[in-house]
Amino acid sequence: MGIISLEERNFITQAYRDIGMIRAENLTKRYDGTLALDGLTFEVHEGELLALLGPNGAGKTTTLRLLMGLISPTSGRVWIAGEPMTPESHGLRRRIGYLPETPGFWERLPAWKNLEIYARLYGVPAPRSRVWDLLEQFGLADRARDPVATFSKGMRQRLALARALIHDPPILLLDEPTAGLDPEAALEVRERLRSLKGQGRTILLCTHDLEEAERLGDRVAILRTRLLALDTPDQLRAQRFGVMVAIEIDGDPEPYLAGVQEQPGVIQAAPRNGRLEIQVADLRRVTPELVRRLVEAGAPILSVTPVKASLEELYLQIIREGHGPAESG
Amino acid sequence: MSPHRIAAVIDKEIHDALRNRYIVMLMIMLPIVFAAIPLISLSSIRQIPPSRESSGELPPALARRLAGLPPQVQLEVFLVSQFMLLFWIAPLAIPMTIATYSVVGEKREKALEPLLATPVTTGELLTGKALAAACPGITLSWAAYLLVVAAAHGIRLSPPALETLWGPTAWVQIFALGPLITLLATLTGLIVSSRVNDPRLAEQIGMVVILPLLGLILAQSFGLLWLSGTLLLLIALFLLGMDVLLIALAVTLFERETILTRWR
Repeated sequence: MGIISLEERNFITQAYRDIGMIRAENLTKRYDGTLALDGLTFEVHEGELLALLGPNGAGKTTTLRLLMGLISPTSGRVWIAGEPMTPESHGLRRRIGYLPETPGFWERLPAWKNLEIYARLYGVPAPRSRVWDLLEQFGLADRARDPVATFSKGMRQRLALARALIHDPPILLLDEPTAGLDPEAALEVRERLRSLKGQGRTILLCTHDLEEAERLGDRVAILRTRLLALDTPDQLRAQRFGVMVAIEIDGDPEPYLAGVQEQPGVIQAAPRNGRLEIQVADLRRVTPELVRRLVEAGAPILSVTPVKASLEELYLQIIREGHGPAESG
Repeated sequence: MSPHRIAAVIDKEIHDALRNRYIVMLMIMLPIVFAAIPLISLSSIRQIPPSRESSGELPPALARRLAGLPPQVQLEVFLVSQFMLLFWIAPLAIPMTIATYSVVGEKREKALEPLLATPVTTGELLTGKALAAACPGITLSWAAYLLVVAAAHGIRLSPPALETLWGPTAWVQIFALGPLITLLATLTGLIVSSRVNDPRLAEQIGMVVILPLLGLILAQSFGLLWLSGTLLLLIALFLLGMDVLLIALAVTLFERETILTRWR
C-alpha cells in the first residue's frame, strides 16, 4: 500500500464515518480450530443503538472483544469512527466506553478510587471532579468510600456503567448490562441506557433480554457464530411472518373463511381462537376492503386488530432455522 | 510511554497492596526484623571474649585484608559483611507478594479486561506494576539499613566495621544491588504471574531467582569466595543487563488475548 496524503486520509476517514461509527467487516475468529465467529459484517450508525442477540456461545462477547481490539480477528477488520481498530490501537480506545460481561473491579478499593484510576488512565482532565459527578449521577455518592466488595450486583452494574462513561465516549460497547439484576435494578439500568441513547451516543448492546432489545434497540442483530438477521424488529417480523390482521366475529368465523381467502391481497387465512387470522400483503391497503366485504356478507365484526409476532417467536424461529433473511439494514 | 498512566497504575497497586493485611504486616515486620537481626548479633558478640584463633576461622581473603587487627574487630567486620548480604534479599519479600498477585489477582477479580480496554499499553502496565511492587520493599530495606547504621554508631562498633557498613562498597550493595535484585525478582514474578493462574505458584517460581544469590551468600560464609568491590560492581552490571532483558521479555510474554480468553 502506498503512502497517502493527509487530504486522502481525511476523505477516507470521513467516508467511513458516514458508513458507520462501528463497522465489522467479514470478522472471523477461531480459537484453537474452534470457529467462534464466522464472517460477521455489520455496522452501527452514529447515534444508533444496535441490540446484539444470540444464545450462549453465539460469539457476542467475542464480537465485543474484537471491536474493542482486545483480541485479534483470524480474518476480517474492525473500523471505529473510520479508523482501523487493532490490539495496538491504544489511542482509539478513548472513543469507546466498554462494559464487559463481568464488570470486574478492584474489590478492596473504594468505588471512587476505582473510577479515579480509570479517569487517569483515560487522561480525563480534573479526574476527581468527573468521578464525583458520575457517582452523584448514578446515585452512588453516599457509598463511594466503601470497598466495591461490599456492593450489591445492581450497584456494581451502575458503577460499571459510570466507569464506561468516565471519559465521555461517543461509542459504548455493553455486554449484558442487565444480566442477573432484579427487575427494579434492571429497569434503572435500562433507563440509563435510554438516556445515553438520547444523548446521541452510538451503542452496541449485547443482551439475552428480547424485550429489552425491542424497547431500546433501533435495530436488532441475531447472531449464532454468524449473523442470522439484522434489521428493525418490525422489518424482521414482516420478512418472517408477513403482515397479519385478526378479525373477531360474533359467532363461528368458519362460514366467512372462503370469501376472505378469495380476496386480492390475502396471502392466507385461518380461523384461530374464535377469530380469523389473516396474512395480508399490505395492511393499510387490504384491511379496509376486507372489512367492507365481510360486513357486506353479514359478518357481525367485533374487532379488527393487527397481529404482531413477539420478538421471542421471531428470535426462536431464526435461531432454530439457523439461517435468516439477508441483511437489509 | 505515558508517565501519567504509569503513575495511575502505581497508585492503584499501592492502594490495593495497602488493603492487603498480609502485605501491610510484611511492611511493618520487614524493617524491624532486618534491623534487629544485625543489631542483636553485633551487640551480642561484644559480650563474648575474643578468641585468639578468630582470624583463622575467617575467609582467607578477608583474613588477609584484616591481618593485624584485633580478633574482636575482625569478627565485627566479618559479621557486618555478612549482614550486608542480608540487605540484598531484604527488599524481596514484599515485591514478590505484590507482583505475583498483581496479574493473577486482577484476572481472578476479572478486573483485567476493563483495564486492558483502556489506552494503557502493556509496557506502561508492567512498568507501573513492577515499580509499585519493588518500591515499598526497597524503601523499607533502606530504612532498616539506615536504622542499623545509626544504631551501629550507638553501640560504638569499631571503625573498620563501621567503614564496612557505611562506605562505597556498602552503598553499591544497598543502593544498587538491592534494587536491581528486587527488580529482577519482581519482573520474574510478573512474567510468571502473567503465565499461570495461581499466585502462590507464581511466587514460588519467582523466588527461584534468588537461589544463585543465596549461593553467593553461602559461598562467602564458608570462605569459598570474597565479594570484593570489583566483583560487586560486576554483579551489579550483570543484574542491570538481566533487568533490561526481563523488561523486554515481560512485555513480549504478556499476551493480552491468551490472558483474556484462556484463563478461567
